[in-house]
Amino acid sequence: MERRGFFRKLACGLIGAGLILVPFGAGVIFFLDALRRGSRERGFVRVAWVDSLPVGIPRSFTITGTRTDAWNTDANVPIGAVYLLRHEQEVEAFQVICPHAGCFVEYDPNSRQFLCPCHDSSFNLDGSIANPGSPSARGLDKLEVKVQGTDVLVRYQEFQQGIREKIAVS
Amino acid sequence: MSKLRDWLDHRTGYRHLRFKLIHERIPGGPKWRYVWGSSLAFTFTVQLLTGFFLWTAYSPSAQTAWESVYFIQHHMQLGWFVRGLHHYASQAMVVLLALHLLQVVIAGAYRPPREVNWWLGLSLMFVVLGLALTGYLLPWDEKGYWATQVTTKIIGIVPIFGPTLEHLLVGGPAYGHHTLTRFFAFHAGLLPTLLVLILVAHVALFRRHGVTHPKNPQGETTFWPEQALRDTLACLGVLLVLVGLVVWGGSEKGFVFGPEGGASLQAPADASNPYPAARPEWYFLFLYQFLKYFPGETEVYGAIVIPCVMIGVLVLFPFLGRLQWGHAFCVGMTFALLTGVLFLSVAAIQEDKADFLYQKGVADAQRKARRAIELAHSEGIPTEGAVQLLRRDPLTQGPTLFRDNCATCHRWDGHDGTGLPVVEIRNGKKAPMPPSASDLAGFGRQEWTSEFLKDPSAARFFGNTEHKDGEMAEWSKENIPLMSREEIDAVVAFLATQSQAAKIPPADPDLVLRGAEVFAFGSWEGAQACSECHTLKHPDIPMSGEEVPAPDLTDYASKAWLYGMITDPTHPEYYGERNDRMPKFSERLTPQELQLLIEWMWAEAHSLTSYRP
Repeated sequence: MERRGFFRKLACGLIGAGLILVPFGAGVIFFLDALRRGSRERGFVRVAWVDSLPVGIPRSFTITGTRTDAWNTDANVPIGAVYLLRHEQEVEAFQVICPHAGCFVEYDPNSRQFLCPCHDSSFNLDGSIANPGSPSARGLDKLEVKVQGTDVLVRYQEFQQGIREKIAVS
Repeated sequence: MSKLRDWLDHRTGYRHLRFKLIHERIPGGPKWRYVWGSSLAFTFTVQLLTGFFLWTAYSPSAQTAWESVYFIQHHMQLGWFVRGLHHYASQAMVVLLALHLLQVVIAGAYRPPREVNWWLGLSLMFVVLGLALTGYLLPWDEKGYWATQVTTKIIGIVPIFGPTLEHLLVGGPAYGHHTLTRFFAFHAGLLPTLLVLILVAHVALFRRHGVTHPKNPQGETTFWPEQALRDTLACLGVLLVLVGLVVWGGSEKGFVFGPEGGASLQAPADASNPYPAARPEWYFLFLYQFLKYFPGETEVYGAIVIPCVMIGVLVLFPFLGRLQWGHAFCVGMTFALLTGVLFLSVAAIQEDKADFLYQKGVADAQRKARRAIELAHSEGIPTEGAVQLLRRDPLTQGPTLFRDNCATCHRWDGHDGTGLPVVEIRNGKKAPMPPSASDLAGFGRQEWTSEFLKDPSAARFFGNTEHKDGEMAEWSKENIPLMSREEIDAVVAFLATQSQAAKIPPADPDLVLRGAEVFAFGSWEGAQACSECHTLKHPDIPMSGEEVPAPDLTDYASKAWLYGMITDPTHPEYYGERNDRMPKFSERLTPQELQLLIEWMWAEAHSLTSYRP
């Protein structure tokens, strides 16, 4: 009798766990779907004409491309922005997102620095950290850039924030 | 560990609570008929779990609801399974509720001192039906959209407050974003909270009064483990049925473990398109059928008054049950109600089976749903919503454009393009409307052209037009007998290459060349050449430069040729002054509509069922 009662209780426990596991487990797998969705590799896109860039003064440009957001796919829509800085011989591109916590950095013509309005990080024109107490772990993220004829092309990427290493996430 | 449990028990008293929960006394021992309440609670738990996970991916707005459900169903891992469980569990709750109610009535568990619990149970029933009703709209597909319209319209006929209530529920004068946000707030917020609160009170009162046991119970046991095992096995049965429905019930293909299974998803809702297949979910079919017996302004009796009286009687059961024969009346009344529901539901299904328009509506809806999903798969969904995919789709819009603009004169395989016969009202009676121009199904295909050449005067071609006895008909009578079968096939093959259809049978180059020769110079036996009346820009066909009396056949039956012909048949390259009655459709249709119509005619003629421009 004792053994019979034990097996009944065991059966109750096991079946009961299974009953919850099926909807809950399926739900968890469903929820983890987001981890499957990686960003896609983007090539170089044309951003500006090189002769429209003033030498020594960074200017921000919108990047347009195809955006896939869950069920939506839209071509030729804004997907981000970059700062382009023209030197005498070359053009540099910086991600506008602060590597600390993801705010949009602004260029301050007075200090000739990039300033983050969220946590007071500031960055030099070469992207390096300007203020010693900056909460940012690294300087502004540089993007690959090339000049073809009169066109400036940038390979747009976003990077993981808050860490020293520059790891691309899109 | 035991010290930790002691500490926790000291602070919370959980051991006492657990003891109370699992050692409930059951006079007369465990019974299978006691399992319905637990099964219902378990099914509700499934709904809470799956509902929460679906919530993490669902987006309630007119441009994102269908789209997010499509994404859940077809792209997220096990999305179809989670959604399918949620869908079928909602139906299982209705069935289990009915069984639970029946068991409570038969056992007399509605009688004193359990009156309040009976009323709580009835409240639970209405909350569950409310959840089912609000959930039906959320995918924003054609089925849910049109079926819910009926429900909110019924609320609108409630005397005095109806229109205001409807306006409030819909969130405005018409269905839109706020209809979804409101239904979703009810479905995922208010109603589940109410259900949990009422359920807690229901179970607490049930514990207070105990099970309604037989009059002279033999022996006694406790809930744990005897009754618990029965309840658990019943819940397992419910789960197995649900999983079975998800993998077998969602598709006509039988067993499907993937996005094609689970709950169905119709095409995205479009207020501008009729939907003859609109029906409520099966458990509301009886009400739908019931309303048919209350035409015009009497509808309020069928929709509001009589259901409210029935609910009133159910509410009064505890008092009625105390009377002599009262219990028998309540049991009889419950069975009568369920029988009525069953009868009306079967009647609705039978009538639908015999309703051609409904059956066609269902078939059209399924085809449209497949097309919407096919387009969403291949093109992605624009931010304006998936309904735009269908509005821009020739295969979806073409039949309607043909029906509305061409089918008064032309036919498409004998019908109006959408599959329905063309009718008119003559002498007060509906009668088939005879065509007065050619049947365009298959236009440009080799079979069509071949039949046309052999007998242009046939009813299918020029038979009902001014050209019935025209030059083409005369040419055919005089010249087809002078042509060999091979020469006719050659001309047909040559003309078919002009339509530029991708799926025409691969043409024999020699045959096509021979066709071009016959077209240009006539047959060996002296049949008159096509080029004497028609022009066709082709390297092997000399152009005389003289004006000819018949249409130019360059790119004959191609999309470009159709565009020219339909926009202006009076242009000298087509019928010119010999045009019969064909209007210039450039004056009647927008360029987009013309393009949709022509793309459809061309694709449909060549049987391109998954065609995309």
